[in-house]
Amino acid sequence: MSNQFVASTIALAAVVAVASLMPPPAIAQPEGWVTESVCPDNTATVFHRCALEAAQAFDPPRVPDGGPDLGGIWRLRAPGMYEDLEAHPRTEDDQGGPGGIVDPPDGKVPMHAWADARRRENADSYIHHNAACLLSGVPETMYMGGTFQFLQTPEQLLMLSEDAHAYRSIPLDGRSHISENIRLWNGDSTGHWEGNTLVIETTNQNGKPWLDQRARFYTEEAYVVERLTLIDANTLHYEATIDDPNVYTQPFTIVLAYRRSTVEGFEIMAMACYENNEALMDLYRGVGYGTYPGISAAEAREALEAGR
Amino acid sequence: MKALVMLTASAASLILFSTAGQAQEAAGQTYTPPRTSYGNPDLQGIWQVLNTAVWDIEDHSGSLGVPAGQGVVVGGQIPYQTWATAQRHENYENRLTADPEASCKMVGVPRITYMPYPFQIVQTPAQISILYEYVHSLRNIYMNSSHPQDVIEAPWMGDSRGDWDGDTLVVDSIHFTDQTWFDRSGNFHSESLHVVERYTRTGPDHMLYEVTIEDPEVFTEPWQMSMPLYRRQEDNARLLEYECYAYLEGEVDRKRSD
Repeated sequence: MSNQFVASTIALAAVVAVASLMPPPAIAQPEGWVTESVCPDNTATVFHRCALEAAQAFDPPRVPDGGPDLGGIWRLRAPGMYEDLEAHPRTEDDQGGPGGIVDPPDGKVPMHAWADARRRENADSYIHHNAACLLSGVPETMYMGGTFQFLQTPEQLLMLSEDAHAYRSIPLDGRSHISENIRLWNGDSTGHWEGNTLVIETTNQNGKPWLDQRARFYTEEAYVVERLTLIDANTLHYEATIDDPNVYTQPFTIVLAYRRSTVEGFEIMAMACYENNEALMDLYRGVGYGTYPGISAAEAREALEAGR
Repeated sequence: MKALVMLTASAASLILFSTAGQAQEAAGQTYTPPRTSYGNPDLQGIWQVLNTAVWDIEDHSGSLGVPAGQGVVVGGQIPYQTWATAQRHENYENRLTADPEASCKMVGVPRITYMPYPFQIVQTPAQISILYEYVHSLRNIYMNSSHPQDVIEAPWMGDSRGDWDGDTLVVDSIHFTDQTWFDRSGNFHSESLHVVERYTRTGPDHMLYEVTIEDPEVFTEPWQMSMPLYRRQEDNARLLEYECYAYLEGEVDRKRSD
């Protein structure tokens, strides 16, 4: 009996360790990654302030017949956002990080009380979607992996991630969103230029991915606006505002910095994930974890009303 | 073995290319495709096949859930080695569970092209990316470059390198896993698979898709497939999603909690 107990405890510990260590795939830092930037980019708030100013003074290169050229290989600077949107220390489970929230100014995720309680319960029952190779939704897909490639044509921007070969295709042709009856893992995104900033609006998400490993969730009514601006030749300022009033007390904004790779001929990998993941999923399920089924906006509204 | 395949690949490709070229001429192909701003034929847009290759790339009779179909294999029959014919038969018997598509895995090249889902081609001078709706499969085709000697893990979609042969995009792919099949009926290959695809615009809304398959471990000689690709005509055509394994995982969890 005690042997069995020990064995299952070890198995559980292994799963917990693996679960926290899983994402993102280890990415070696090759030589040639740009290290100079017009703004310090290791803290979101400091970077944000500096970047907004620097963007005013920078005249970016453009694609023929199109907006500023965002194409290239980009590497995310801030570690650990996928672990926790807020500042958190390095521990056995986390690499830690300064957090990415610039609004509200206290750097905290403004969750309704019911939602905060719910996400703590969820974190004990479900694995983070990334461990099951599921798509990360918007905006988490932008900080789930570390290395990205943007391919830009006058009609669209492709955002390719190394994480589970996820891609986003952002049309720049002024089209409207698809029917609200269609729900997608990465939602429906449309982009347009406001000056030198690419503004991407995303709707139609299915609300199944989380924003981080702290199980911060959203519903299918979430409305996400991302703003991408070059602030010098090799630095990209990214902000995303998430609005989902049944889950959050106010819209909140995260900021990320990406730096360009100048390695000649660098190719990102479109890595298989699910195809090699069966043993790990069996392990998770064996100790009682499942994949998060999501919560509808109607259920969230009900929970919010009940808590008032 | 693999090195040998790579050495012989270019010679074989030359012979096969000329065959493919003749087929095009025979079809009276004179269409001049529009070009990108940097001068390459413009293959961009959302495309899809209209055939039964996903069930069986060879000629086949109908059965429950499977329409009868004329094959896409040039000459009609795949030149299997004797042992491979037996393996293909075994695959067929076990197809409902053994087909990688049945467990929602990526289906490899060229099968991804003739799945019943749309795909989108996006071009830049140095790289052509093809986005597929089926489990967000992605191929990055690098132009004017060569295959790496090794890959860290077997990519399910292979390693693809592109070149222009006149107005035809030629994509050479190697470094495959042996875990994928060509169709739902068990036609298969080994890790030595070498695929050469030719994409040729034949009209405003049509493209000729020709494939040469080479795998000396499984076939007695290289062989080809040929089929048209059709541009999706809907005003609001776009890639949505078929996140097969996400739906499958969800089912597994639902059954567990019942």
